[in-house]
Amino acid sequence: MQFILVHIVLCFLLLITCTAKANDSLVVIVHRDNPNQQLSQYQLIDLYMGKYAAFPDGTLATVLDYDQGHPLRVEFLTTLTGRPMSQINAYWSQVKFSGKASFPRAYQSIEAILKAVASTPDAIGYVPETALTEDVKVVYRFVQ
Amino acid sequence: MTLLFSVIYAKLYYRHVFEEELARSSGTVMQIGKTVSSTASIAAYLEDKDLATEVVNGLVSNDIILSAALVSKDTLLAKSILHSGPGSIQINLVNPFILSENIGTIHIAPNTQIIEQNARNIALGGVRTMLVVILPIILLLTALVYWQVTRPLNQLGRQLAKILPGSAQRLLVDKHACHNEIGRIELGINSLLDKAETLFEQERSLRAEVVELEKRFRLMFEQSSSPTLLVKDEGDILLINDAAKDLLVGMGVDVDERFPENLGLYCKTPDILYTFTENSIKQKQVMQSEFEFINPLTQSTVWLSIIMLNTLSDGKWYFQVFLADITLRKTMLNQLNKRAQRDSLTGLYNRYGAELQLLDWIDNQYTFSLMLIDLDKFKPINDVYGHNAGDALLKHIANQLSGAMGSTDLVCRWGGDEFLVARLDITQQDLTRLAQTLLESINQPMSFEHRDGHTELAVGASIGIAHFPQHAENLKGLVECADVAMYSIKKTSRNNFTFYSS
Repeated sequence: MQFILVHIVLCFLLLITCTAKANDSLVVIVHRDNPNQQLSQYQLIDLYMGKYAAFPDGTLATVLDYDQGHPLRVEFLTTLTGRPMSQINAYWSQVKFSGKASFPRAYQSIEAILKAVASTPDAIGYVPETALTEDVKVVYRFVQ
Repeated sequence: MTLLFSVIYAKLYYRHVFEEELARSSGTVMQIGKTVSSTASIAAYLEDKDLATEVVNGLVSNDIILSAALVSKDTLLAKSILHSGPGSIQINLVNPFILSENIGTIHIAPNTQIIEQNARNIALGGVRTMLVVILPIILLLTALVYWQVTRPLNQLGRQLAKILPGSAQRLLVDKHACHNEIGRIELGINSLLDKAETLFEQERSLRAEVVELEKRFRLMFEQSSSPTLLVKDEGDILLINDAAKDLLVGMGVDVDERFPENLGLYCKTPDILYTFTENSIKQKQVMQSEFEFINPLTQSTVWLSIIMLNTLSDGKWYFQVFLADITLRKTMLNQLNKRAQRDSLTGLYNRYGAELQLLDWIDNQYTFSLMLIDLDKFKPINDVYGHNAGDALLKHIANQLSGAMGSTDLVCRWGGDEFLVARLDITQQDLTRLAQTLLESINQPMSFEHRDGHTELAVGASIGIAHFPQHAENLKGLVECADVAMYSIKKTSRNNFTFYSS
């Protein structure tokens, strides 16, 4: 009887943490001094899929991403494009040879991204909302 | 025939395969287009001319594609050398990430020449294969049909043409063919020929019998001495035997004319003759009658007996006419009849002849008077002078009576020494005078020669008179009345007359 109660409590706790994690959505960030205040989903796709390497105002952009296989990268790209990862990988594999598209620069951790965005004025990256710092500015939020 | 069929079939098959191949090729072009569309949309998305050129080159490397071009929203990213624009298939490209966004088009012009060439080759190949398969089969079938069906049937036809139905000829049936259909047909024909022969044989013997019978009947008819005709009901003479021909030609009758008009021409009573034949035809029964004719050649009388017999044969009416020349018999009968009515001694009517005449008058309801005359004292003359004297006296009396009476009157020897006279429409007064005259003429003596010299013979008479129809309605009664009157004289005065009175 006590075991069952413990189980229920554990499950409940797990549910709460999961919800917390789900609530912990990604936000797209730029350098605090970046003149762009807001970016659209299309503009973000064009940046992250290598179509353009510049912000809408024309200033060159340095696109930052996580290493391949990073869970945040998977979550971010699939949510942004609405495409499964396999298609996105197929896209990149085709684009790789033409050399027309520019690849985002890859980082290992959230901290590294935060640090790079904070220190590079034309950088753009994404982090979980909970990890936000004063040094960066949010330009896009995923609507829940 | 089979070749024509093959050609038509090959033509249809070729067209079918050709069209199918064309459709398949355009389907293939579409598929190729679809296959490259994901790469093409990436090229269009990135406006990547290199990638676009790669896609176009890839497309053109297919020999069924003549030219291709890749266009992003407004700009031409890549195009093959031959690309001109019209007649191409267009595949819309969508943004690889935002599917609702149209970002470009691939233009693909299929190489119709090559496609058609291919289709033609494939179709021709198909037809060739088909012909390679079908032609031998057709040839094999034709040969098989020829050896198994056509040739045996032709042989059968030739054999049949030579066979005369009803003869002993039969088809030669191949022992090996007994079990197939043609063999069975041949066996069937042979059994039919067997039956036909039997039937023909029966028919032949029957016909021989009929011919023989007909010959006999003809002989009977032709050689018959009885004149006979066979006439159609319209009057055409179908058959006439020699006897009839002789008889009719001898009578001056045209045997080629219609019956009975040819006879009626010389008949004394043609109306009766025609009624007779018409009645016979109408009543369909045997009728016999006798007719009198005048022979126009000799102007002599000819009597014919005509018997008409109606027969129905095959729904048509015929009548047989049997003629007989009865002229001789008729004249003989007439003479006999005349003789039977006459008294041989006096030449007057006898009682039978008188009765016929009187009965005729009574039948016609004529008014007449008759006198029964009985000679007085005649028996003694007969006894004394012999029968010759009596006979002579009777002849004398008869002459006297005939002389006193007119030609329309009746004078007869009623019996023995009794006479009877009758006259039409006579008054009582005239009758009295006539009776007086008769008595006087009877009383006239007659000289009779005999061995002892000659004697005057004289007799008297008792006369009884009766009238028709006052005294009796029939002959018997009338004669009885006259008899009663006569006897009353005989008993009283003699040599006198009286009228019957009831």
